[in-house]
Amino acid sequence: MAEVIKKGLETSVQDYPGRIGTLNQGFPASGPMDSWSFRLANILVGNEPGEAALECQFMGPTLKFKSDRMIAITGADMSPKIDGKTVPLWESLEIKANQTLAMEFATIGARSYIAFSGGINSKPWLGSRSTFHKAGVGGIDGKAIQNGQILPLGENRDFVSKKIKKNSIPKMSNDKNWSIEVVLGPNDDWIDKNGHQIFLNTKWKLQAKSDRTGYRLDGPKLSFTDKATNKSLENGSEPSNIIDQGYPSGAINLAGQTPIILVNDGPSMGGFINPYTVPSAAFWKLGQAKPGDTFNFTEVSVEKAQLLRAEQSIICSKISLQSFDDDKIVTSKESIQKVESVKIIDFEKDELKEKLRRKMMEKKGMKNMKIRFFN
Amino acid sequence: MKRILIANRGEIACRIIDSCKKLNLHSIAVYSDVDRNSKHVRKADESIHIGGSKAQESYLSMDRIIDAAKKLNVDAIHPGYGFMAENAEFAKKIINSGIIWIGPTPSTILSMGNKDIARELAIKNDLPICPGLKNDELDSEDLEDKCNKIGFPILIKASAGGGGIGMQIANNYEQLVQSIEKTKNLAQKAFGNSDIFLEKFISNARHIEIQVFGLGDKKALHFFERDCSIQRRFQKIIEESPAIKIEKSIIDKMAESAVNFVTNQKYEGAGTVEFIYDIDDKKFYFLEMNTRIQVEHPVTEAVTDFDLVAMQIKFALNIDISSVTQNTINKSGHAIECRLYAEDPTKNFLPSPGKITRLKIPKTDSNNIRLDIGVDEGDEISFYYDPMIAKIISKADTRIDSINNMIQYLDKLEIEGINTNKSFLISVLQNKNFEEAEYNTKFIENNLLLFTKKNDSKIFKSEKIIQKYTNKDVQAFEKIVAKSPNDKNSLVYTNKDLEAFKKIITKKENTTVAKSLKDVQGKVYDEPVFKPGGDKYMFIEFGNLMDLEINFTAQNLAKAIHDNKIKGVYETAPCFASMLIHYDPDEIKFNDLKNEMKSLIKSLGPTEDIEINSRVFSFPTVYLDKWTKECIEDYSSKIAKKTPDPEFIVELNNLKDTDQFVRVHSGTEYWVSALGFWPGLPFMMPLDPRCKLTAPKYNPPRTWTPKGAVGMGGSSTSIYPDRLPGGYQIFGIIPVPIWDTQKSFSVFEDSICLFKPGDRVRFVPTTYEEFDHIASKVKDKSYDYNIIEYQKFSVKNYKEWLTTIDKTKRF
Repeated sequence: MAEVIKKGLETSVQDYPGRIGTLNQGFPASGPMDSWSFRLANILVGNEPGEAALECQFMGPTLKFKSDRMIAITGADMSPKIDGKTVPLWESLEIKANQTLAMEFATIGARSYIAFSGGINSKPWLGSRSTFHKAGVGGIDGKAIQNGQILPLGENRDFVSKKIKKNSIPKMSNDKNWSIEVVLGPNDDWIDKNGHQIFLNTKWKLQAKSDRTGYRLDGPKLSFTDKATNKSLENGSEPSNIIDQGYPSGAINLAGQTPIILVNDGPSMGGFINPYTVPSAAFWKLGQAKPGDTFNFTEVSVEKAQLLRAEQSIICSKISLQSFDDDKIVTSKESIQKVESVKIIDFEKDELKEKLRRKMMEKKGMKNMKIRFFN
Repeated sequence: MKRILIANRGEIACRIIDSCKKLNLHSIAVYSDVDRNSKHVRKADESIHIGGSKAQESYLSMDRIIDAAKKLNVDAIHPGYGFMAENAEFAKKIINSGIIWIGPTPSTILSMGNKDIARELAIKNDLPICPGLKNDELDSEDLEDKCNKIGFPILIKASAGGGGIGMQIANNYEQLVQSIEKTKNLAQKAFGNSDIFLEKFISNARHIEIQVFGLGDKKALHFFERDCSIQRRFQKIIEESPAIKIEKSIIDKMAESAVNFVTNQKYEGAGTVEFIYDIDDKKFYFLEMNTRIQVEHPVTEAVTDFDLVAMQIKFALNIDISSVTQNTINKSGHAIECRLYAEDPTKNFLPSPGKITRLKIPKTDSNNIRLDIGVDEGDEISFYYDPMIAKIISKADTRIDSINNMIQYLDKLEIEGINTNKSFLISVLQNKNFEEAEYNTKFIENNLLLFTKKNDSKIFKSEKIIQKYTNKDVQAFEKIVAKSPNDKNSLVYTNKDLEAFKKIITKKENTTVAKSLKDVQGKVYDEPVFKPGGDKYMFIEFGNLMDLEINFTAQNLAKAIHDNKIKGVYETAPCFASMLIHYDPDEIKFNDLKNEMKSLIKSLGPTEDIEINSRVFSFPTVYLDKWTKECIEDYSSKIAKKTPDPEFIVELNNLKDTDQFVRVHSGTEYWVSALGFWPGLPFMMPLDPRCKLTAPKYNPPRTWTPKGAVGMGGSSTSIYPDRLPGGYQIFGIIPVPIWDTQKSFSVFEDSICLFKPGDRVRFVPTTYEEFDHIASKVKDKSYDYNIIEYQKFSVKNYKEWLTTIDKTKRF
């Protein structure tokens, strides 16, 4: 068991992939924003990659352990210390009874993950332990952890300390700019050619008004096709209005002229268009970006997005573990599984749109392109 | 048992009830609409509703209070402070109705309420008066001499004005002459009366008052002094007794002259004689007399150990108090009172009404701390009344202990949901000059930045602040400003403050103008459109219109996916004319899933043949209610200016007026097509085409919406299950929860969400009264949902019905 001495800024219990199966009642999946770091933390303590662990936002907690426990810290660097002594990220840590883990503000990245061997044993809610803060459900009492709380932990597993191979650690941005993949759609045909160009050529700035529900972006205005401006009454009259529809997680939701990336605790339905969707493999970057950072978006196909996801799943497994003894690669002889490359299939887009897209890509390579920067 | 009616609310009503209980008297509370469940009502032995939330309709309505008193056969009325405590006419009416008025005689109230008469009386009774000149003395030749005699600086004030309006300070005669001209012009413009007067301006002053108790023909008693120098905008916030750093002989002199003054008037009951004390000259001058029990009376009670309210009541009821003589009144220790307000010190101390979501009262030794409070956790500080939440009175042997106890107590006191002046009070108490009593009446004004700056000292716990200002605040503020001149009890704000306030809430002028929509018809697509949503979602669009059949298709497909256990599909979210599928790309690829869906859709068969069980929910709904109105005003003032939502919809849909809108909107059943956006939030469409309306969504969206708000966007109607951001135009509210994680009602047994797709909803227009009634039933969990279970519903019957109506007609 571990006692919460200081709760940190917003430290919550999450599991992966979160709350699945209740989308039609209006529940988002929740779960860790950076599931890459999250899963690596779990495997470092002998857990399954998706077991419940802590997500720490901007500033981590201080925890006092009642008994010996293997833990691991990954993701953002919040200068973790055990009894005052700095400890490394991305390694299994043996913490003894009565020792205290203290974390500070994130120096690199935005979210840290603390996994406990045996996982966190809080009561699952609708099939998941993930905290959905806004609705006050999941986690412990539906909220971020509180001072004085005792974290219910599972049984400490017998596991030999490991570290994560260097190549398996996600590379944080060092210039506050992140390149984020997007897949066009579902409502890409509501934005005109010019609008798409603007979107893909802008450095969008992440507003402070961003949380696990949505990431608001500052940038230029987009322009629309006839579909957006000449539509039936039921849609609503603003160009970004559409008959209410389901929202994919990661959708870049255009509310008026403000793009909002709907992230883990985002709404499941609504009446604004989603011209682009951030695929799951790029979510870790959103999780580690801080307000004020900039994003530029790169278009990828569904197949590419799925390939990235599959690769990430493999990285987030025991393959990435390395023993301390000889710095030799652990795990089986199978070594790294090659991901079967996926055949790229054209969507049934009409030719015109395909042309437009190609033209746009050509233009992207052009020099002297006007790009607007926003501070 | 005598019956005492308390013609007041909040903290003071609770405090008077306490004294009634102590004296074994039957206490009766009065309440307005918003106060129905407030603390003073809960506390009293009996209570009676007297009218609307506006003070004019309740606490300021003489007839309603007196009617209530007569109805309940009341023996006496205690007015508290504020409202009608110093209304001579009210006192007279009560006395004429044969009820005892707990307070001085109406004629005393009248004479003390008039500044000029009070001043004359004071002169007659040898009370020192601040030297000055009246309007008719200004034309004399020797004005300069007279002014020099008074001594500069001199204050030039408009006779008709009050507070800070039309006030000038002159440091020499030259300035004075100019200022007189200026003030006369200003006064003429502002009040239609150019009369002014001059008064010695005491820049370094303290406000000292003597608590007196008149015994009619007998010599009055006094209960020593209170120092009320710590004021903001002429409103006291910290009071203490004794007043330190003033010689005892001066205080004694003040007390003596106050006693003489009230004795000569045969004053009856509790009262306060206020003085201004010139720190530099060590002189005091009579300011005014208050003929009520004052807010800060507990300070005196703490140091003298008397219950002044109980004394008031006893005296009025002719219960013997002759055992109390001046000799028995002694003071000991030091007491300080802090007034905790729902206000924002960083925004000109503007009121910050709202719901107290959390209130944690620290446990302390009751000998050290007294808390007079009028609210409990969950209660609202309403915009309609004074935003004072509580008074905290700290008493100890020494002043410094008293201050420290107070700081500790305030620090531990946790209050959330509204802005308060708690941190502000602590900063003042911690200030070195305050500790050394080096202050005057301008202490707050001169050190404002010091006290309002973000204090990062560790002892402050962060206060959750969700306060926002709305147009309503501006209007209220305007009223306060307009009211200021002639009302001696009102906060004194000036037009300048109003302008400053307006600046605070500077808004983007992004007016949404209603424009009539082109009538483009949506259609059902020949083939559904499949679109990707990132790497693990598929979006299927069946058409671009809202109709029942298309929603049936979406719902049927969801059911078929579930029944056929399609490989790799985690979950589905059908909506009006589309469906979102969440799938596992490791299990199934986009194109394979698409092909599966195509064949599944073909196998669905005609929707017309389907008959489903559909429940019908009826919700009492207040249309055009004050809560959504407030929310719209908030948005309009802070984010983007817009026409109020109901009027906007009226204009856009060519309706006659909002009444017609309410008729149209409530004239149909709504079909729950989907749940989403938030757990349990229903997306609904009107089943009667004659009631179909349309509206755009907010741009940009709102950051908050009241819980239970009814709104529409496009042609979809919804209910907000909680206080949430949102984009629909809002215009009504229901008192009933539609989601409940606690499962407090039996309807939530199966799911924490009330609705299922295929349910139907009716909005039944209702009154605030009915709304409150149901809300209280919901609160104590005794509400029964109005549901008609399992009505058969089919597209076929629906279509047949459609042929029988004239769709071109509106209600």
